[in-house]
Amino acid sequence: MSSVCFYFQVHQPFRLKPFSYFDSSARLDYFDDQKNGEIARKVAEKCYIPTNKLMLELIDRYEGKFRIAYSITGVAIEQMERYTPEVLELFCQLAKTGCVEFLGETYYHSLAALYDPAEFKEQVARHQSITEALFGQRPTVFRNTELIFSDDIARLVASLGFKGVVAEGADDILGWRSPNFIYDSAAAPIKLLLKNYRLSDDVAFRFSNRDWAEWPLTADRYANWIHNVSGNGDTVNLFMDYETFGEHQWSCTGIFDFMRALPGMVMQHPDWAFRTPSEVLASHPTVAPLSFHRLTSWADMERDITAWRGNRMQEQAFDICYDLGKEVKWQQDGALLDAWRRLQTSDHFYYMCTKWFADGDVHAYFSPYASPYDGFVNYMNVLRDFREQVVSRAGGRQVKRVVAG
Amino acid sequence: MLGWEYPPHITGGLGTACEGLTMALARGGVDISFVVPALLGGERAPHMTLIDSWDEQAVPARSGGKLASNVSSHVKTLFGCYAREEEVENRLLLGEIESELEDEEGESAEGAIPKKSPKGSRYGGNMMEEVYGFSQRVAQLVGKLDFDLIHAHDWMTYPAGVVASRLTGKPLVTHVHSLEYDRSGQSVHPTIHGIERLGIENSGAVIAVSGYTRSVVIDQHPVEGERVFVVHNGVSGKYRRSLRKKVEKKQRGKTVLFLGRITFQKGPDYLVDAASRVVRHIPDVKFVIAGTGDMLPQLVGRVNDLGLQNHFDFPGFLSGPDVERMMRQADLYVMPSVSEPFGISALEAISCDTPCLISKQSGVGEVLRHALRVDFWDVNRMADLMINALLYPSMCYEMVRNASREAQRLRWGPAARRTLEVYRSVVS
Repeated sequence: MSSVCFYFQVHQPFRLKPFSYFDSSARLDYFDDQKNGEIARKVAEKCYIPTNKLMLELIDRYEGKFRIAYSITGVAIEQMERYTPEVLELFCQLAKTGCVEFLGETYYHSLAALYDPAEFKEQVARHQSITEALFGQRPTVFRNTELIFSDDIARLVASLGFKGVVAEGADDILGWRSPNFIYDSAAAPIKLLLKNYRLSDDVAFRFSNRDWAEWPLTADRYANWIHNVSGNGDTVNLFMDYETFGEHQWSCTGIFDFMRALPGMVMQHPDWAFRTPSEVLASHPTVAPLSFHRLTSWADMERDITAWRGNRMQEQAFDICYDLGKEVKWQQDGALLDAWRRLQTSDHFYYMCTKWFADGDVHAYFSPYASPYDGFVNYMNVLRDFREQVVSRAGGRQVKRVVAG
Repeated sequence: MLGWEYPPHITGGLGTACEGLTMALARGGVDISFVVPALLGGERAPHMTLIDSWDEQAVPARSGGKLASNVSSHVKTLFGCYAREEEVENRLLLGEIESELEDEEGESAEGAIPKKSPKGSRYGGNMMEEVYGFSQRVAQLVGKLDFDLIHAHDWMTYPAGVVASRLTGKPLVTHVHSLEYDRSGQSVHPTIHGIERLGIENSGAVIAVSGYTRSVVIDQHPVEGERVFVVHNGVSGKYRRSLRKKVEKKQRGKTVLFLGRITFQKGPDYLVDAASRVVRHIPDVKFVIAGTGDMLPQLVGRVNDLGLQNHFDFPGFLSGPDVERMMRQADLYVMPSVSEPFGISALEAISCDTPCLISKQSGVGEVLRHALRVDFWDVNRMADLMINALLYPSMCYEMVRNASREAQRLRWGPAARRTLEVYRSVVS
């Protein structure tokens, strides 16, 4: 029996306040509570609440045969606790159905895997703890931030005891091979679940595009495309942002009706069933070892990490941020550590991306800033003040001069 | 086409823009007669017929050139006896011009036309006389020329354009490279403003060099938005080609450059205020204010009052090679204009591998997105951005790298195509 494996990413960053070079905050008050609250409530209303209710409805209707997976970042969970506790309550209800698996990731949606393996491990452990505490399950399958993956990351994740990891089914990595099978990492004892990006992006990106030849996409036709994989694959992995439902694709596009109709259409074929990532790993054999010789992600046509680390501003911001780690940790100050980690969230670096800005295609990237330069300036102003606070809390002890040295 | 200057004799960007646009239009098959007040020697324009308004032999008389007989009265009624600037100021009100234009009667103005071509500055004290004389001479010429429409560049040529349009019945397109509002702010010269209005009101279509200028035109003059089109300037090769022989930047000390007229509208005083906040954090920064203008003494006084003498250089007006050298040496080019129709100097800075901080009130920002932008009055933010640009070369590198690519895309071909669309909208 072949598997359809839905995995949804749930994440909201702590966005920064407008912060000038002349500002200073001894209380580490860098995050825009008002705006973050507004966005949390808006996304809850448009996406999280209706979609969670829909998933509960589908799980109920198909008596456990409809199964899905989430990973929810720690920073998103914190904001739900603060601004929209009803959303968190719905996720807890979903967890109790037994049809939902929660994956592990970095608590702060960071790129720590690339800069600071020890820090990465701490963030993953913290995320495992909060997931276990809230949803009653300890993640055994991992998803790294933005599906960023490589052989090095495979080794890192395997060392933490995960049995599987989800990654992008990038063409150049797969070559002639299909994303619709389970592979072994060539670098470490861990299994790979690869995203079928064509079918995933049909829903996540193309669903409402009227210029798309397949518009309007019906659940019937989409289920047919999945069924066409029969005989050519064990699993169709559909990985996407949860905000696809109601936020990226508005309710008026019919995305909720599509999702409501899809499970029935898929299960009309007796050979197809919904499974969670762990269940997929348990149901099908691995077919071959696969090497991720470069850094991949699920972003853009390039499926690389240049949206977060593709220009010198981003590189400099990362370098300065992670250079502070040793000093921050040495001080054992919870508030300091938490602020530093929130500053590692990938979104801050994404706002500095210049890739698409030149083409006037400003809508290709979501950003609260008018330009990537404004994004950089605001981040660096915060980071500079943060370093000042680290220095002052160190009580005048000499701190390596890293910001604008 | 009616222009006021043509390379190599230029005082601002107008002549350069006319050259770029006419060359691209000619490539597109447009036959152009371009009339300037006077040819000063050295102009090269094989792509069109360049006409000196003083040269009576420049255009062979067309058979039956009967229009010429009415010319004097038309010009007279437009400017008439108000040749002196003060009188023009007092009496050149819109209504008067309009009503007098309808009136075919009028004394001969022959006596008012200077018979000698003044080969000096065309932006001098007797500007109104120059403008008036030009319109009269153009009126004499138009009957001998064959054309489908009149394209007039900036207010100095609008009276000539209006007269030519009235005499020939051909549609007028006015091209707004700058407005009196951009040059003078709240203290607009009422006559010039009136002439702008006259030209714009009598145009079948108005071309603005930026969306920003278009909005100012619509705000300042009673004109329907659908008649005002945006055609961004192209950029000539020298701005597009980064020469890559970067001057060795000084090892110590950063330089911020302002280059332009030292007038209220260019906003140098906002830069000085912002600078006073920068020097507290970057003690070895130097601000170079290159250019001259009526605000210079006041600006120097302000710098002294703030105790910033050691941080400021005022090298005066710079010419060609010095401009380029200065731009290459600078770490940041700042254009804090209160109102800037386009602002091509920002692109020049980019071609010298120098990143730009420009005011949001500058048209060039519509095509140069890889720049820092700030409201001209927001000196705190201006200082914030300058400090960051000086602290983080990574940001400057990215701005230059990406902006160079943007500049390469700014060509006159698309500008000419847009202009042709505007022509089609009025010739039908």
